[in-house]
Amino acid sequence: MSARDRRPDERFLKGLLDRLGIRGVLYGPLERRISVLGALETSLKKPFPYVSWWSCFGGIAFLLFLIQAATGILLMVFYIPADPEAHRTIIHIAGRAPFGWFFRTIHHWSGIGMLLAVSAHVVRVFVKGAYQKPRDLNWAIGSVLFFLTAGFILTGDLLPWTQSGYWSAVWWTDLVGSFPVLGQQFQLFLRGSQNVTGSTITRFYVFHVFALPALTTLFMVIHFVIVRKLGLSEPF
Amino acid sequence: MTEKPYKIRKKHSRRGERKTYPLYPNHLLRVLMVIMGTVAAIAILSALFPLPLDRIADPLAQPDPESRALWLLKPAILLNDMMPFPGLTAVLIAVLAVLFVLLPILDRSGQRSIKRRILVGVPFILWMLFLAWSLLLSTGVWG
Repeated sequence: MSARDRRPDERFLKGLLDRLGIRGVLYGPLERRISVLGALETSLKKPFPYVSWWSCFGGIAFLLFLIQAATGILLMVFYIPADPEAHRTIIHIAGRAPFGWFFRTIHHWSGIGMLLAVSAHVVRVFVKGAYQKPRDLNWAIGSVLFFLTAGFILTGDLLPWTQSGYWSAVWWTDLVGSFPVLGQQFQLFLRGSQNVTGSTITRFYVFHVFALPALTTLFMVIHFVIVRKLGLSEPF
Repeated sequence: MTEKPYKIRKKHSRRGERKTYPLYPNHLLRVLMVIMGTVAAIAILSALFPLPLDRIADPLAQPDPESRALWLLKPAILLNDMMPFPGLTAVLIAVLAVLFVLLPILDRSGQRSIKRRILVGVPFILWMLFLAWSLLLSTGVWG
């Protein structure tokens, strides 16, 4: 039914809704000037390269990174990176803070999920042979992102200052220390002292909350720019 | 008769063009489904399996057995048990990490099919099987 066929009261009602609606009040002046709606309709109807379900693991990893960032910021509100306050604040988060246990658990599971999603993404890229030229640089950047994701889990495990997290940190920093030539220096840099102590918590907290997210964001941006530039790899 | 511009092409065309589908609703709905599925999976896991809190770290206490170490370290612990001294494990892990990053330089065959990339395919699959095996051990399924 065209606008002319409508009854006058119907036309009035539709006109009123158009003017009062989002399109009329907020969007109207903008639309009249730069025709955003037209551009949006063109973009939305644009043919998009077919993407299989197997290609979604990279996107899932990015989504889980965002969930990690959001829940991590909420946990930072209560957490104190020192010995023994770290454990006390985790008890507070898990027991007393509103929904603290839920956000802490989401942070934990999304961390594991992120590593699994990145691993699945790596396996898919390998199987498809999509690491070959011209995507070789993007493979290198993606593999660095894989190691950074593992770094999040390794540093985050010590932060609650629990017995299992402590001995895990002792084990892997000992392994780093056993590396020839520079191992001892790097171990000292990671621990902040000869043993895993309160200063190690502070260092791991800095890595977990500032250094690793900053590096991950930087590498993700480069990764996405290259994907945007070269396009998704062709199915064979 | 002109071809419908937004219809999904089931196969590659004769000219080798890639098949396409409309951004809206096909692709955006798929993205929405993936987002909702992931968020739902994480929320359900978190609600069903809340994270327990271990006792406070005590450097003077008996070291925890390796079975309680972080699951991510299990492959390294298994590898370490096979090595004559720990430094070798660290070097081996570093070498594997470098080889992983430099994979495109190691494989310049230009072949997409994995059957034609035996030299990198077999070590990669063996490594993935080792990781899966060690992670299964760490979850206690076979350990």
